Amino acid sequence: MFARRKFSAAKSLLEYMGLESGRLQFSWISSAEAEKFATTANKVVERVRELGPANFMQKLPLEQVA
Amino acid sequence: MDEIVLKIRQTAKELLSEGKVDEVWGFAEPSIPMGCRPYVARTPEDADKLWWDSFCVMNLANFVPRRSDKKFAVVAQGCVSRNLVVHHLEGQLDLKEQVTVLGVPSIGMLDAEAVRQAVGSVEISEVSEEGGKVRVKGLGFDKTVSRLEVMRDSCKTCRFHNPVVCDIWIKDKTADEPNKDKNARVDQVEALEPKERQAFFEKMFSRCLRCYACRNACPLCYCETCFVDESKPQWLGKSVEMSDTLSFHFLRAFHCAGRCTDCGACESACPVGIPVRYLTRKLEADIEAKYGYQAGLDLETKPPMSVYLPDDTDDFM
Amino acid sequence: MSELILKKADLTAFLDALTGAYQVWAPAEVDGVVDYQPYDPETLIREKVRPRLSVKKFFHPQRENMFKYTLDPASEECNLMKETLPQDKRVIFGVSSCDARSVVLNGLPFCNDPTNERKDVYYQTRWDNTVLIGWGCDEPCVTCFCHATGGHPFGEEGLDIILTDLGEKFLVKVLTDKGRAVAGLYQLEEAREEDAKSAAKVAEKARAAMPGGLKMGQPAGQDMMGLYGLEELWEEIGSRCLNCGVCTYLCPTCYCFDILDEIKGQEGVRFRIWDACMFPLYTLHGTGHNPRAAKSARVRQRFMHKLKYFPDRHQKKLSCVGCGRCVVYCPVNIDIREVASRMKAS
Repeated sequence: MFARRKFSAAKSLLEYMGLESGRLQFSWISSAEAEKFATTANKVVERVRELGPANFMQKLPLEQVA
Repeated sequence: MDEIVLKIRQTAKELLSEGKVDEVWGFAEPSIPMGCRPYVARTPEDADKLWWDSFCVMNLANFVPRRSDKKFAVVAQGCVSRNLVVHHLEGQLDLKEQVTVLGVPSIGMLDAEAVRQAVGSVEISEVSEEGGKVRVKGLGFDKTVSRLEVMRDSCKTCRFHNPVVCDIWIKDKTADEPNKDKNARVDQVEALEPKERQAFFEKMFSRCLRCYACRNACPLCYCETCFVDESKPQWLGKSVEMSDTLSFHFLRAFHCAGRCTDCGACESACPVGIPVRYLTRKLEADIEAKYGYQAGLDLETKPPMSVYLPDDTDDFM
Repeated sequence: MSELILKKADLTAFLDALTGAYQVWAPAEVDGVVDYQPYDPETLIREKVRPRLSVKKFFHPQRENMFKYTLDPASEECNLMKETLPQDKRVIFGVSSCDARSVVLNGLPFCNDPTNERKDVYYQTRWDNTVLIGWGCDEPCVTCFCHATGGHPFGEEGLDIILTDLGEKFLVKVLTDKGRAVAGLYQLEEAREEDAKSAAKVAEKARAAMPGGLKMGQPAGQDMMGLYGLEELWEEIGSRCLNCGVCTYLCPTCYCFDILDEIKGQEGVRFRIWDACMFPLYTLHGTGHNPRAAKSARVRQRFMHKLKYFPDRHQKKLSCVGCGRCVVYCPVNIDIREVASRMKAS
């Protein structure tokens, strides 16, 4: 419940900084809801595939930094 | 001598000689134009060194003793008093028992970086103020600009000029503007597409030196060890690489959610003029919209990140 | 060496002529901040300025890769550290004498330490590959004090070429072989005797304009414990110091660094980054003990290093060139001129 307020603020700020909508996803899943977990995980993967590789806050190749 | 300076000195002297406080936190006269020198007076003689001008922009709530038995007085504008309230709510001090607030209602503090921009030079040898005008002299120029032109952005958008808690008024109260629109910066970013937003912030933070002046100038950043300084495990890369720099600024801002009073000390401390409040402003706008809360306005309301309600928004799902 | 003339109208033509053989950097303004930027005739600042950051970044970059390596067990070179040396040849235009002098001073610990004949190959390579074109300061900046640290507004130490502003033209004084190679890339006419004379006058006038009465000097001769004993001073500065890295990072002569590894997949680099004695992590031991746990101890270290330890080790030279950047940009107005006077007065 405390986390709900924190997630709400964090997601909003990340998207404000340029993270595409849908890249960061949250769900409430209890430890007893195995099927819901599997379905959600698949949905997340699907959505992220659609979006393609993220370049938000991505590390540069190590040698490029100097 | 400026009346505010005289009144601060006189009040500090009385408090110290009567033994009502152990320390008076204020400012001393800086060695350069537009300098800002926080200072603690401990004896009645020290009180004569206290100072005040429009460039006293560091937030004194960042300097006062926390979790100590001392009694002290603090020179405070609206924002500083609000940060003292935040300290009180977070158990860092007892505002009622320990602290004497010397209130200086603010007419808006000035921004040294804005002055440099306005005159197009960093070589400034003298700055003086009179009747809403600021006269700036330097290497090969003598210019006069309006106060508003060089006012700090955080002061231009400030709603609470008067200390929200005050024991001794150093000057008369001024009018607050509780309904002022503060969202110009947030609106500007939100008008952009995600890719443009990313480019906007990457450009802004590309000159960040990771000197941590923004963090260290902030009264909210009082963790014993900052996540940035952890080495086992190391949470964050330490070089000036864009992903690390952005992660730092994201997390620094996020840690201030629901606590930031928008005092602007972070921005004033930045040696390369990065408007870091673009991030904290967004969080504060969200918190106000979602929970109707503005930090540090009273001693009763619990900070929004330490409470919850059953019908809080699920907007992130 | 030789003295030549460059007409101000030909300044960009001169710099253009260097761009084939060198990466050219010059002061330009980006988002309101003047700094050394890749040279662009459109944005070049044609007057003497003090860039926000010093030339330190060209010799001791904020991040410098030192080695690269692979952790791939299939590779023959697995776990072998391979040196990565910077190869770029650079010309930096518009450098102040104070900044140039800092390159030589930092060169003492990096390459010319009296007790260590090894040279820091990264610093030395960058030094060998970089040409500094100075621009003497005919007017001191408002917080400058090079003269109080052993420098001069027209000091030549560390520079390869120095320009003197003579109104419509520059006197170009070539100081080193590196400088000669650069000056040779553009047709410059020989200077006449009166040009040299007027240049000398400009320099003299500039020196006379420096503020008098500043007691910088060094507290040498005073013992370390005596300076440690200035508790009132350290406590007062410590009470307002933010312990941020502004002074250290803007300072041309602060050269401390940390060495770190970053690994991505099987590939890694070992690099060094600027570090600052103001940060608690700087002295944190593996045991968790921190010998400089208090803010006042950390801020004391900075001044002791610049004004006491460095001079004691390196020919009595201060580790400060008087550029005044820390004085302007310290968020809480800790002024090294004042600290030095108080250390000396003790």
